[in-house]
Amino acid sequence: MESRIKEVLDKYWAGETSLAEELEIKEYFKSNPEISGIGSYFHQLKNAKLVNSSVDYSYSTTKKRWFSVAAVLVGLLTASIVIVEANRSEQYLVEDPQKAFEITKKALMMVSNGLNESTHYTAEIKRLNKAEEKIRE
Amino acid sequence: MKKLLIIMVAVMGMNVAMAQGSIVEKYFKELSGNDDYTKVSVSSKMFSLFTELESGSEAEKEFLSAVSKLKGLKIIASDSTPTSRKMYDKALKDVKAAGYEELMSVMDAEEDMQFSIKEKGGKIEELIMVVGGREKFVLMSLYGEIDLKNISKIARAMKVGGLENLELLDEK
Repeated sequence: MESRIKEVLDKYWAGETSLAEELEIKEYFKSNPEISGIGSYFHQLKNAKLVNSSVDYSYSTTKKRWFSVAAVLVGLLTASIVIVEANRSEQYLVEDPQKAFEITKKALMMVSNGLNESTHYTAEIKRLNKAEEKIRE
Repeated sequence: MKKLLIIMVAVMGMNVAMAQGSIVEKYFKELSGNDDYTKVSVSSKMFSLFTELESGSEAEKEFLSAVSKLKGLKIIASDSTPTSRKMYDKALKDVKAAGYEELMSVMDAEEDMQFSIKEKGGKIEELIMVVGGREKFVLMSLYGEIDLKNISKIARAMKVGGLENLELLDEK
């Protein structure tokens, strides 16, 4: 059998095999998987053992389901925290338009005055600088 | 999985929406039990109500045009806080840490004041004002579309109005 297959294989690599002979090779490797490279590789894997076999590496489908439930819960929790936080500032929201108008007016006046004050200062500094230059001249 | 993604996007969207005025928000939270401080928030809906008011004087026109582009106003203020100095320094630090750019600061004998802004695409989208005096502390956030020229005109227009009134008094 061995010599016969060798003979046919030589013919195969030379490209001279008939269809019947190729089938013969196929059959041979099928019945003796440990001879072909892939066969022996899988054979080795079959005999390999996990170093720590007590750890379960497989995720069961129920576990997967729990993960998604947990993720959704985390999402909802975050969303509710955000909503609660948003409401916090709403308790200071002014609801009376007249009051809101007065407050806004006051606030903008304050900002406006502040802005003008600083531009006033820079104008003054510029004026001082100019005066200084004139004196130097 | 799709549901989860939608929830996550929604949460992130909320966070982005909350980002504006968030520094004042932080102080709202911190001082929520402290009655020394006045806390005020005005919504964009309220601003849109203002614009329906009839504008009379020049100052009011300037005021309304400045307000029409605003989205919100948040203020924390106190006139009687013994820790105003500490609060002022802390607020300045927080504003800087939050990535605001210092625009200008004014210091005089009575009080210190600092303006900081957040810009986006060359436009100011938030203005923070911090004031610290003897017992005074103010932290204000204006957000929306902010036109500094427009806002600074308000006070000038008001002052002009005031002077006109003085002249009238003289004539009498």
